[in-house]
Amino acid sequence: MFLKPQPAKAAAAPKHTIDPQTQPWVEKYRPKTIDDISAQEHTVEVLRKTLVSANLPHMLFYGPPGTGKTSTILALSRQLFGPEHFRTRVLELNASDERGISIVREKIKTFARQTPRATSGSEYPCPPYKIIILDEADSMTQDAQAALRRIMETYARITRFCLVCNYVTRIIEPLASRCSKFRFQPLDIASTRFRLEHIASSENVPISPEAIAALIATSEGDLRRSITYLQSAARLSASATSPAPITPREIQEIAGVVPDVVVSSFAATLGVDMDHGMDMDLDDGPASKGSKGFDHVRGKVQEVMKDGYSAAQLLSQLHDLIMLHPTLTSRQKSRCALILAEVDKSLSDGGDEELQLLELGLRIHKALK
Amino acid sequence: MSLWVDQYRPRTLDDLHYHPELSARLRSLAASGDFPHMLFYGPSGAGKKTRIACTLRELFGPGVEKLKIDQRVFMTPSKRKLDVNIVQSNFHIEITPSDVGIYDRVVIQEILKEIAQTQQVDLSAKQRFKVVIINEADSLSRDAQAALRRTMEKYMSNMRVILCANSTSKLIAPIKSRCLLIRVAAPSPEEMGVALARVAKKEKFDLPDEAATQIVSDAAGNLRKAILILEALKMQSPDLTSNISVAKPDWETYCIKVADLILQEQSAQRVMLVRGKLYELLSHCIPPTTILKTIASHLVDRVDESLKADIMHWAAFYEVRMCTGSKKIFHLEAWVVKVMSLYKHFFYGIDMPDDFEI
Amino acid sequence: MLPKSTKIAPARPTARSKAKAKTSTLTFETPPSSGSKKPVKLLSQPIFSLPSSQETSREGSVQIENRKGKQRAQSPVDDQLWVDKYEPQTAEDLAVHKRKVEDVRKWLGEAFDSSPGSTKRRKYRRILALTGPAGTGKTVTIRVLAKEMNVQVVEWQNSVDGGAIGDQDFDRESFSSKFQAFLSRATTYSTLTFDSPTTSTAPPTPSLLQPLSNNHIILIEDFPNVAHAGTRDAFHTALRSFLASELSCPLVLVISDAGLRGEVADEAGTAQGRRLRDEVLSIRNVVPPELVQVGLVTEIEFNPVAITLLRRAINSIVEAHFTASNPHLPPSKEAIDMVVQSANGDIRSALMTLQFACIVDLPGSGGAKRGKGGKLSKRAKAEATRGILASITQREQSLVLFHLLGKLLYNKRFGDDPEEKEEWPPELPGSLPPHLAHHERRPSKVDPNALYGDSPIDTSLLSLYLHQNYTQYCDEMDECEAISDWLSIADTFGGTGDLWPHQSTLAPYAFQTLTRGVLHSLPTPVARRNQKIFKPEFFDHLRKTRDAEGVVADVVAWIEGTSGVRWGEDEVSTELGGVLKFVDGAPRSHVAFTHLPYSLNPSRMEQLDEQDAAALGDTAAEERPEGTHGVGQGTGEVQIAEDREREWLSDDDIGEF
Repeated sequence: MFLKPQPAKAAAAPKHTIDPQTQPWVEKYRPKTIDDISAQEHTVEVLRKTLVSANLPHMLFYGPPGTGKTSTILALSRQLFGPEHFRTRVLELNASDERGISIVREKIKTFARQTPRATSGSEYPCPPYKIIILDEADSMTQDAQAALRRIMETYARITRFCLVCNYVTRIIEPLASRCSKFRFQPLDIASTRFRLEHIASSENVPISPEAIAALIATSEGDLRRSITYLQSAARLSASATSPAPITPREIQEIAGVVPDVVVSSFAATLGVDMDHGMDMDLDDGPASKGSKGFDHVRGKVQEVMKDGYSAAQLLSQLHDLIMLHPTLTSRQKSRCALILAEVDKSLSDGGDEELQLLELGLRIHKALK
Repeated sequence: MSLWVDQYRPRTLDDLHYHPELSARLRSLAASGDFPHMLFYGPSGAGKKTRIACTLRELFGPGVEKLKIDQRVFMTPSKRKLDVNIVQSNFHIEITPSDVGIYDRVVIQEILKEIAQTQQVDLSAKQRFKVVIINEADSLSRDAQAALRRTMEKYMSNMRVILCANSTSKLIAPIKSRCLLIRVAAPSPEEMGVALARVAKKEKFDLPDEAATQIVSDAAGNLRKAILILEALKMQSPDLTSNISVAKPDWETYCIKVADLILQEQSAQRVMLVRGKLYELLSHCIPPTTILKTIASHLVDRVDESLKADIMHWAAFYEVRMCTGSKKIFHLEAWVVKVMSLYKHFFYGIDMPDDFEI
Repeated sequence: MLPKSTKIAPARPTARSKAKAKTSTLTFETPPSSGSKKPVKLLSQPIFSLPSSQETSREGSVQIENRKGKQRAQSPVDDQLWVDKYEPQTAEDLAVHKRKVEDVRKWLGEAFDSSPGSTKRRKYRRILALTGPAGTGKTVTIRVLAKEMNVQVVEWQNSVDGGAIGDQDFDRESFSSKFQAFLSRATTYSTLTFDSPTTSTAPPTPSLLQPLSNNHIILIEDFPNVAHAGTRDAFHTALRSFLASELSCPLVLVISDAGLRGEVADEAGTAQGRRLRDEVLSIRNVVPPELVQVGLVTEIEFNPVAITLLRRAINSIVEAHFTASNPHLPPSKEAIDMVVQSANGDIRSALMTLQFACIVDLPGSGGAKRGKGGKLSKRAKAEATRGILASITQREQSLVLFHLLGKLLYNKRFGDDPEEKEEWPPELPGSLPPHLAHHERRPSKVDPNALYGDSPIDTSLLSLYLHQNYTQYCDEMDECEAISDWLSIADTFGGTGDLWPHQSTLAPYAFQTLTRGVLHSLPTPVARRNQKIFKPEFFDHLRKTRDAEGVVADVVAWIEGTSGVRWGEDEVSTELGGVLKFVDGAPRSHVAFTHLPYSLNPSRMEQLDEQDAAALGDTAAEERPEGTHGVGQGTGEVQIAEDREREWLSDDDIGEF
């Protein structure tokens, strides 16, 4: 298990085989204490109290990805047990580990039933229980969750569970009701920026504030993603023959985001008025409405597809553009929203990207006429 | 004798003549010693695999071209044995998920673990890590993707993964964020022209401009297809003066004729006739989506402007049905019947209720 | 509906006679001296298997086909199965179309023809594969012809001795060695064993081989588990080495179709389906495909037994059985007709049914003992007979299917016939609002819930039948459009889409959606145009697709071998069409997916009716594979088969049944 020998103090441990150079920054800069957690003040406040009282309920952490759920529980455990006992007291399982009902019955149960040995002389609180962290718990099957429920009850005295998931609705109710729930908010821009700048300066990455802004915009409140992008960008700029500061365009390319120019030119083809409020040089000019409409849209779609952009990505960017558009009427926007939603569903059902993009284009074109 | 496409495939990054900035980037990444996991994506025939092969050569030198094909046996959780052919060199290994079907998670985990746990024995190797190439990564099951995600982090020290996909849409976000995304756009018509000329030069014949233009416009950004057509055309008509339709695969011409059938007559009998044709196409392994798109694009070229959007709308509609259902013919036929009905109503001037007005 | 008593009646005698049948087998299998200590074990002992290469038991291991004779001699008449008792003895007795018998006879003749000029041809007369549905007389044809030509049949059976089961490695190893040993022994040792027991342990001398190989046929009916890749490879290797061996007798493979299943269609559309294609027993995986392509393996396809042949065969057996000395009275003509009709072209099933039917004393038979029996009207008798037969045979599918489809496709509603005096069911309050007025229909006479209970096939297969046939029943494009859309919707409810493996929760709704959708969309009343119901072409094309996929995989492997580049399957199938024919060394079989000539000829279709394909009469049913009697459709005219001796159920029957 990669996470257990944590960098903080385990750096001295010889077992640690990860080359620091290639180590993901996400791990390298994982918060060491719960006080380092960005932007989850309320949760941290509550958890800090548990550190003092050394009593912990079963917990359910939920919220969008990259908001610090796993980091929080790892940091908390480490503060509770210290590096010495961390390995014996904490079991972390995630979706890539086999987690069917048989594993729940065997591995989890075996760990849960062990009575922790009393510890003394540690500088850490070291409460008399163990913690089992189930990362990505929403991907566990219903059966496995149901089996878990008995184990939680039976060994509650010596074992605490922490379920971590994105969607609380996918945790069966009997499980959820046994846990105190903590909701993690998407990170606000200021804390993300603070964190990213901190990492950039520790790693000596030349990055402009605009590029940071682009990082934040493309990662949509997911700190993990923005750190990963930052690392990729740093890699690219470091490997370039003439090291150059990272540009917002590079960030977008790394994140697989469709460039703004492409999105706006696509929107213009569909009849979205792109001249208003934005001074952009569009290669197509305002959409030519009228008899050439179909071929025009079709040509544009083929062009986008040839460039290899992801339809799902273009869809979500187009959505932002249309919803925030200054001159479209509410009625037009709501029509577009319905179309966008339907096409998104079709795409996630496995629909052909080109056909769906064409469908999207033609329908929006019609809706805006 | 191998195909021209494979015979004249560029071998090094320097041979690649288009997307120079991309080649430069790959070259510097290969030299940097901090080579990340990568995800190559872009349309079919844009040169993703070629670029991956060139990058590997840049990383490991010509030794990477010495391939051997191993037959390996894997054990599935249900204790079934699975025989898989695996292409590998001393430095890399290639996996195609469609070879292993629903067991992709098992196979990929096994292979990655094995690679990660064996140290590079070749002391002269330029890199400490081995590379695992996963072709058609967008067809990986979600299970396999989830498994891949941890493995990628865990074994970073002596393994890199290169994924190759047509689109990133079907890959889960954690995979995407762990890879450096490399978008390979289709070459422009001019760039394709250059590539064709290069092949012609190596085969020692002159490529007339008209033929080149025809081929390039027909291939629509798919360089592999363009070179295949060139080869077929050269074989069919050595002076390259024939219309390129002679060099195209049968099924494309067939689709045009099916489109004709749909427009000539709209009746229950005609539905049966078209159904037979669709069955024929399907039983020649033409993917149903390709059939649908090809027929649709011939149809919209031939109908009134007011019908075009409807035809494409229903094509998109039934294509999704095809993905969620299992009997492809039902959905193809439902679309054909829909188009016939639209066309007939249009012809007789009857207004259809506007199905996709909101 | 049947009186309760008659419904229950058949159960007991059936059970008893089954038990009897078993005992008879027992007595005959067990040598009297060995006692009956371990009868079960003896029973499970394969009759013609080779015990795993135990040298000692060689004499007993390969036996000449003489079981049937023994049985007849020893067993008392009554407790035998008619299937065994009245097994045809001569080619005239065979209820198989003469041409098929002739084909097989010709093949065997050529295989045994040792005249100097035939050496080349004999190379292609080494392996014969007989395919076709169960109970169409494949095996018996070989036996009869072998008898006629005075050659002996040596049969392979899988060994079932305990230890091997469940242990894959052992099974696989022992299988290949055993099978190889069987083939070589069958061609070399067997006659030695029986003709001259004294020399049986002596090593074979080459001089003995020549004449011996000329009077054996090796028959394989019980195949090893070809779904397992290793076993399949071993089997293929054995077949190839058999072909390579110089002197040996012909090998006959009898492959029974697994039959139609709708799930096959569902699986076919999915990624999993492609991988499952190897798991069903068929000529594609039993025999290495390349052998079929080059003609080293001949395939002769048997069709379901034609109805006239079936009836003739049954009648002659009834005559033979109910001789004057027999205390029972023969079944009535109606009963025989029922049996023949419900047999679905499966003569074995027909005989089984008939044997048990005679035990029950069908109400239609002369020996009906219940007083009321004689007073029943002819129609009621037929009903009762049909009910009984339905309870003792499970092969009545096609009958029920035919009516199920008829009910759906004729879409009868109240008020179709203005003269009709039938009472309409109570109407729902109010009519549809104006914007839905075009959905207004008169109340239907079809109850989908009842149909659901009776449906003999799963929804998936039903949808294939409806898909195949709906166009004939539509008048307008709009109706076609609606039905094709319902088919499309119901299909997405079905089993196993690629994306959502748990769609099965929707499956119960698929039937309702499908049937109600179709009923809603069809015109009412449906115009009568002498429509015929056809079997889905789907499976035929599915088979072709599977073959073509195999070829695509070959081409992918070929490219990978020559240039080290792995092409995607779709790239190969869509882009290589133009080039492949010019490239030296490419697998020649590529035409399976590259060659797609366009013609206006409609595809051939196979008709379904009560008797299934058998109904077309001998000639048409048998000649169809040659492609001359394809039923013309598509161009609008539905072929009307006039010279048919069977009776169509009239449309009214469909309604009432």
